[in-house]
Amino acid sequence: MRVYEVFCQEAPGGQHIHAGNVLAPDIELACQYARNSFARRGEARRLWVVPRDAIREVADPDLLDPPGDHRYRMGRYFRAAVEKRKRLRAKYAKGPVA
Amino acid sequence: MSDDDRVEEFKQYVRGGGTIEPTDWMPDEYRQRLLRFVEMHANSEIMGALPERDWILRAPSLKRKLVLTAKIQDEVGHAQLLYRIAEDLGKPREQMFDDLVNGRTKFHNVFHYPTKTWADAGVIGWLVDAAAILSQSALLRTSYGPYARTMKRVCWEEAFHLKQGEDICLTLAGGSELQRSMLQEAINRWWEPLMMFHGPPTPPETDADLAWRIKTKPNDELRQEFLDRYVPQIREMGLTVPDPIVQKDPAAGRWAYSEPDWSKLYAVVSGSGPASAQRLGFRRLSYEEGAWVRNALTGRSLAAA
Amino acid sequence: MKREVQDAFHRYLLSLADDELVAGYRATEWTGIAPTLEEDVAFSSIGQDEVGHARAYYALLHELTGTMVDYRARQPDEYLHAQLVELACAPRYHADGNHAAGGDWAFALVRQYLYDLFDAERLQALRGSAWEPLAQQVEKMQREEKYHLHHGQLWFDRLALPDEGLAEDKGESRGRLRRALERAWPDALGLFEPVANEALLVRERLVPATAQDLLQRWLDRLHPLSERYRLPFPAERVDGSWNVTVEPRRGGRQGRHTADWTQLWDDMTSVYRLDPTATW
Repeated sequence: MRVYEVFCQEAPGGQHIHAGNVLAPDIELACQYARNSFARRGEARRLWVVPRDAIREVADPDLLDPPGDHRYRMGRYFRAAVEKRKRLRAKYAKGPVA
Repeated sequence: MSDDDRVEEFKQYVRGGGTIEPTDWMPDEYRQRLLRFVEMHANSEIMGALPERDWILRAPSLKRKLVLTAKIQDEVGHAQLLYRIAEDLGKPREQMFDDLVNGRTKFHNVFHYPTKTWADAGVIGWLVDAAAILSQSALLRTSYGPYARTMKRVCWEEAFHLKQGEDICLTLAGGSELQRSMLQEAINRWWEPLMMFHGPPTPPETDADLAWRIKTKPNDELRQEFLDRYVPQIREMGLTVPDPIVQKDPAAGRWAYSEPDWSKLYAVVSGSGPASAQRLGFRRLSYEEGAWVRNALTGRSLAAA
Repeated sequence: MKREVQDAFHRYLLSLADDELVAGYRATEWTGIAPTLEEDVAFSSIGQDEVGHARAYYALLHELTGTMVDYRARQPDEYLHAQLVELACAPRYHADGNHAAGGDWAFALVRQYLYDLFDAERLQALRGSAWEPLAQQVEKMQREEKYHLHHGQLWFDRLALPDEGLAEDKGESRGRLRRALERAWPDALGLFEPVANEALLVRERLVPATAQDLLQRWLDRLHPLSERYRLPFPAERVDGSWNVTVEPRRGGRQGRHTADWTQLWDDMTSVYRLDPTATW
């Protein structure tokens, strides 16, 4: 018996989101079990059924969210831009100055 | 069901908002158009890294240096995601790069131009990316599921790109005379390519990419959105756009602008732009110099050793 | 802190900051042109981390002396990084289309890995620094460097694999790795050039290990790799410690640099120098 992880796409075009897992002797039965466990109310458009041992977990915070200062990658790092624009707007309200 | 009926049914489905996944059946024409569209998008992301790269060593502060590097890194990351979509549609990456560096496929017009000053890094980040965001936001509703989902991530990152570019421009606009004139000169140079960015006005009924809902908005509508949002922002900075007739007609709600010479656009994207040969030459050089690395990656598996 | 000690420590921190700054600049130069897209993104992060560390060290310098060090406002011979990190190895774009070829990805990887291994030993030692702000900062950096070392190790393993039984590989990557190592040794050994008044810094436990200590640890770490993959090694063991067999290229820690640095400095400061008083 193997564990199969099940991912479910609920809306057309949407992402496949982890729904849970099933224990099954092979992939065919795993797909059946997945359908019965996670789609019996028509909530799924598609299922992905993946053997758990095919999945590698990466969870080291030093890799995923290292402690250095990475705020510069975010849009909100540039909040000062709002003030800069305000000042320019005030200064050039009557059009470009010569 | 006959093949024609099947194609017709597919067309109705995507037009009605239906979404296609890689494992679904799709008509050949849809696959080919989609592949061509996504491939050109991917090409543009990787070629778009080059003009901004001109400034990666020259950015005038460590903050700007980090931000610009992260921004270009994002563009390469977008290329990676988009080439993956195209690969799944059936074309190997090596072949796509080969076609790109040999001029057999295209990339966006704005990446065929040289950069001249630091203000270009600002104008590309702000206005070129703004134009790109408008196109890409429209692609959030494309009929191809993996493409739409990728655009979600891309648009999220592009918001940062625009902000950093805008911040460069606002800083220059609020700076010395030298800085302001540097910015105005850059806007003047980039204006024509920006007006060409979304392509010539095409009647929606003759645009096959619209018909298959690969893209979702007509070219001129995107250009109008661009003018509507950014011309006022440029002007309130005390700067001008180099086209005297750019003005909004309040009654029609549309912007007038001088019609670009569209034959020039075709020439530019066909490889006759002012920096096309140089950019492609550099892409070819780095691609060829890296061939041995790709061989080392694909020629063997560590697990087997 | 006594004046003499503070001056020596200042120079030491400057060498740290400049190492990271210049290593970061050279690594990020590959952004947009690395051999694969995946690696492009990966290597860019490493370069950005290094530049970020330089910023953190410059901030520490400020804390130490109360004076800002503006990385742009110094003359080329005022930078104290080792020459290894300044060497150019990426192809260079020229607006006229006459691009400078000669991009050497193997050297970029090898240089980064040799530097990261050196930096790992340096950081480990600095965790014991008597100056608390440095010890604290270093702990954070070590956590980021974990990824750099992992990245370098994976690539080293991949490129170094012996040729036997690998029909599709003609040994090219191994040959390139070997040549890159041979090119890098003199400058890599130059990383261990001590800063002026090192003895003073060690005595005060501001810097708990000498450059010579670090060199021994670095060689200890590299030796198994060179054994496993039968690759060149720049030292031999004599009476329980390593004697280098390659002449180190020194001078960086005293501000002596190569033409590659002059070029990079010129690029790095070109926009800023248009108007050093402006806000950019």
